[in-house]
Amino acid sequence: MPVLQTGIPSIDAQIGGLPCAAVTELCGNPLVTSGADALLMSLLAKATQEHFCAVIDATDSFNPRRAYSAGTRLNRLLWVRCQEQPKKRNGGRLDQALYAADLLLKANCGFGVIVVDLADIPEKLLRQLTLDVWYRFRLAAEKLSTALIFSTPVPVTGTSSALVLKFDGSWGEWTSSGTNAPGHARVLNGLNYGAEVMRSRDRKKNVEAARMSFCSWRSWA
Amino acid sequence: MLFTCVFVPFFPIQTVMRNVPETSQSKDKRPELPVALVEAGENIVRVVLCNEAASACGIEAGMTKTQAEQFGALIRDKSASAEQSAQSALIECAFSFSPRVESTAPGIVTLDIAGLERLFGSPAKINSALQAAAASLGLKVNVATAHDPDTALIAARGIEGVSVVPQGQEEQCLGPLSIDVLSPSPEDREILEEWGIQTCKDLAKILPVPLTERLGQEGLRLWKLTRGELRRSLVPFDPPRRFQEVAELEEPVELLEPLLFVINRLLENILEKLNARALFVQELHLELSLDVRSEDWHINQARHKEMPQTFERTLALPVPMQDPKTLLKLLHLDLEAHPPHAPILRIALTAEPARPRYTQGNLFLRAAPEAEKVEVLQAKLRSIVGETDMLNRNTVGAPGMVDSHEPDSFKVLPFMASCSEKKALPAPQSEEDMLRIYRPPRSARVRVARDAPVHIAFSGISSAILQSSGPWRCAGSWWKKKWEREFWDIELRLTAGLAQYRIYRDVLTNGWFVAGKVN
Repeated sequence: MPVLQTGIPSIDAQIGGLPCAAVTELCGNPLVTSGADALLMSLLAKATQEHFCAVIDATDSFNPRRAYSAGTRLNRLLWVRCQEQPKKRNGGRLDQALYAADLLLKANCGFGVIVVDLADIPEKLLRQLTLDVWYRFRLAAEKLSTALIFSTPVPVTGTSSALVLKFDGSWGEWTSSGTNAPGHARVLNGLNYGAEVMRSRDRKKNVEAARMSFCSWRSWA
Repeated sequence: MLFTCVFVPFFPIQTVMRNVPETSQSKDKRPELPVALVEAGENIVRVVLCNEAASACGIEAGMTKTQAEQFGALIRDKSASAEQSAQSALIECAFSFSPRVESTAPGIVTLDIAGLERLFGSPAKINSALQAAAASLGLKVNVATAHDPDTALIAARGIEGVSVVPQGQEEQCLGPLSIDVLSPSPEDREILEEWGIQTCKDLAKILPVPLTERLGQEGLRLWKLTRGELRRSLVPFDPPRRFQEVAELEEPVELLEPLLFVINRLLENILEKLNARALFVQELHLELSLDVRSEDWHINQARHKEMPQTFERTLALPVPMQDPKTLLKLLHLDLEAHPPHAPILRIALTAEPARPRYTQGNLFLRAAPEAEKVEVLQAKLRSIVGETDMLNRNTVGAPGMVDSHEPDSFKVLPFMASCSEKKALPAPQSEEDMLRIYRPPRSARVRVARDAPVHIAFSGISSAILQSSGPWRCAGSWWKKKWEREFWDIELRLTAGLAQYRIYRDVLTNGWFVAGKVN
């Protein structure tokens, strides 16, 4: 199965990359700092060098400045910002995102990566979706050479995903000039993340339950 | 010199019928339908023109509309705008064959075909090609070629289909035709009838001097016409750079589907015209005249007087296009998102032309998505997520940087248009390089001790702050919409683990907000 390098050496060394023509799920608790976004930013920076990519942003949380500083070619990125619709149940953001993803896959415009960011969608809503929704996405992705990536708070795609990565927390790297130093003398320099493979269809590599760690630093650090 | 004349018989009827969407009748069969055109007079609506099929049914000019309706013919209003559209389409069609074209009269176009044999073949072949091109515009025409424009016109009027009048044989070719093809004045026509002159051959036999003595210079002109001896220069048409099609509807249209049916026809006509000049569409402008005073609408809409009578939409395309399906789909999606507020009476579709886009392929670069596909996709996505957010920024497109220090400042550009953007982007602010943005910022309750936040509560989270870094002050736009904030990076210990957020205090309102999560 062809793969897309994420640009994070520890992850690429462990799993080889994210599979093309398949569904990948990145799970991270929405309340804590998980590292799923750091992986996505690195992936987009790498993928936009060769491919046209799309981000379906269910909660309008994508940070274009961060993507640009990570090296993403913004003119190769289609950004779909779902908006709150007061008349719809729960704002209609999840429906918009899934519908948009379906359109992008059906349009077959040659996007190399399609990211559907559902990380801040309530878990309860995602669990209401039946497995056939994800299965249809799997079938659509398999027909194309697109890497379809869902960022979710909990694993919901089941067996439709070729790869499920779980991001399980982080710890910050703070610099300080002393324990009683004032707030402006202390800076958050970077973050260390931990992740593990919950599920992989690629049995040959035997990567399940493998743990990985990576870090991201601020531009000045 | 060789001139070809394209003549449209029953031009006003054909112009009205070409905009009628195709149903069971094909284009070629349309003129066979009995059709009568009516025009409102001082007090009564009367038939002004009818085709041969309608004449065969018993309809004749001057009948009232009610009388004509009894014969089962199709009754339509005479439309000056439709005639204008058809005439411009005919001219565009002629321009695709020759650069020297004359708009002789409504429904008549003359073109200079000297030297075109190498391109298109013999005059007979040119005539056939012209006839086929006009048929694609929904017009059934007669085409004739001769060595002077007037002879070509007379032959086109009198001879059905295509014909070529060889030089020196004008008299023989035009001889059998009725003198009506010369368009004499009614008085002259009456005099000639009294003399027993029915055909051009009869007129050509008369000696010119006695004819001039009785009918004056006009008589001499008619005599020369019958012999092909009149010579005049072509008056070339200077084409305007405006491509417009107009349709006036019999009844107000309320639903989108029938409206698109008519728009599709207009769009096809415009694209035919553009195609004839090797041009593409860069911008489409749709103007709908609304029936805000119709009775049904009046009942439902009490404030109809305040409503504008026209509805305008402009579709700016990122790249020049010519695919009718794509353009119709874009118009469809646009009208679905912005429906007109009253039934529609008149449709005017205008296209801004542009040269086609030529792109050089590269062996080492992945091909970009097709511009037409992406444009339709973006329009569909806009119909799902809306066009703009609360701050009037686009919801679909490629993200772009803006040269500002304001937090979360960005722009969204049309996706394909930005692909060719070479301009260097301004450097981003490093403060936001690890942030997942909350749009809009979430309101928070923050307890402060010794000038630093020590506890925060927002969105169901309530936690002591383990570490904080700040305040990082920033302000700007004092001349427009001032903003002034004090940012803090904080770390919380939640049940699920550690969480880092960026919060800020709005100095102007003294409220606390969560700008985003460090992720």
